[in-house]
Amino acid sequence: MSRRVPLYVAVVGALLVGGATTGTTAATWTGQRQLASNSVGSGAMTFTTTTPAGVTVNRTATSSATTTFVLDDTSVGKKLQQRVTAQVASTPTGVMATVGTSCPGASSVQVDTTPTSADVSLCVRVASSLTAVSGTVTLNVSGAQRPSGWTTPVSTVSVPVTVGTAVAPGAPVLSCNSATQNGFRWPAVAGALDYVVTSSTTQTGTYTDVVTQTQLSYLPTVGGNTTTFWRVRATNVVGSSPASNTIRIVRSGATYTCQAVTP
Amino acid sequence: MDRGYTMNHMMKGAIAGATGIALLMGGFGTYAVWSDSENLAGNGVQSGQLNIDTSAGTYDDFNTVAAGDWSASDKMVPGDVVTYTQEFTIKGDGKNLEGTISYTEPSLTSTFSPNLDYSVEVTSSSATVTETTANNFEFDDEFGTATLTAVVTYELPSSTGGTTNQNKAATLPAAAFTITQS
Repeated sequence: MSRRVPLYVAVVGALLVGGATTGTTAATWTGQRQLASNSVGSGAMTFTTTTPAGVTVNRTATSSATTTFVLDDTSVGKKLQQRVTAQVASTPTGVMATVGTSCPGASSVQVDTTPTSADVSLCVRVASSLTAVSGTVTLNVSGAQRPSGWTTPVSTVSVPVTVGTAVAPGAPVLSCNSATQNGFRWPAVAGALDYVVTSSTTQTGTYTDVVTQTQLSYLPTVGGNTTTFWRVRATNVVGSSPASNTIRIVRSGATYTCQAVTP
Repeated sequence: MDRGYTMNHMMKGAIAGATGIALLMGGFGTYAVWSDSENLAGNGVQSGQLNIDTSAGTYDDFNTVAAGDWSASDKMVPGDVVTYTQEFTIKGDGKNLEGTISYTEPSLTSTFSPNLDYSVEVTSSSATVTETTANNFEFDDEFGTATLTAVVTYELPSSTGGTTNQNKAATLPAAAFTITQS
């Protein structure tokens, strides 16, 4: 056995040399470059709204008030386009509400925005009626990606509404047309819708309605060499104001003389 | 005795001289033979080359005509298709050159759920460098200079609704293109 040891050593050595030689033949050219790490991320579609101030209206058919809130597109997304819809969802009894980019608006409004758009101010108009009660106007506001894609949860915008009791307007205060002396005028009266012009031939006599108008002046037709007395009442849906002070107009030929008298 | 001795020496000298002259004359005669020659021409060898190089990749908004109008920090929204393109310049010269170009696509690291659509596609500008399996190539001859173009495409489908997949991220890790002689 001991004489075979050198033989085994020789065989193993030959195999090792052969293996090394075989390994050498696999040493071919090679090169390597990387496709770099690359990534993407998604954005989000959101908006915010400010809280509008409350409004006060009278319980009349014509009372209205407006308030505003600001819509801000806070989305993130290189090419995001959002359409925000604000819609009147509920109103107190006897109260009507509209919304728009300007008043009076409509029952709903759509606003197209992007993350870089300027903030949009939306106007809410609240109109009263004879049956109006205080409460809250609620608007639902939601966004939808254009042309398709994401949508936002619905958020609400609340407008507190206070309905006050309407009263009749105050009495107008008449004054003569200083230049022509043949007519008179008065400042607008808060809450008045119309003005009823009345006349009488005596200062303390019975005054008869001549005309109902919205204008704030009157030029009467007066016969020659006559004296007439004039008063005006302001009116609204609640009623009529007390009579104004009295204007006396005297015509003598072609000459007019106007004078405010009391009452 | 002296005279005979002298003569003997004279004869020997004469014979030696004649022999030397004859040898000298014979020696001169060996230069006069035919002759010819040819050059082993100058010659050499040169090695070819096999290498791969690359340049920085670029992002692009696939839905627009403009090139390179996307950046890594831009945010996708439903309907967006974004590509990342990187070119590899490969050179292979050598009469008996053969080899392969391999790429093992790594797994996408993503927080999108469901995952956004993506793909990796590699094309060769050379008819000699042909695709064997997806994004792996071979060549059985020298091809000079060619370009491999790798395009990674990401798409967030327009059907993505609600608030799905907002503020998510996905990354395709770096991986090597290896060109190897075979």
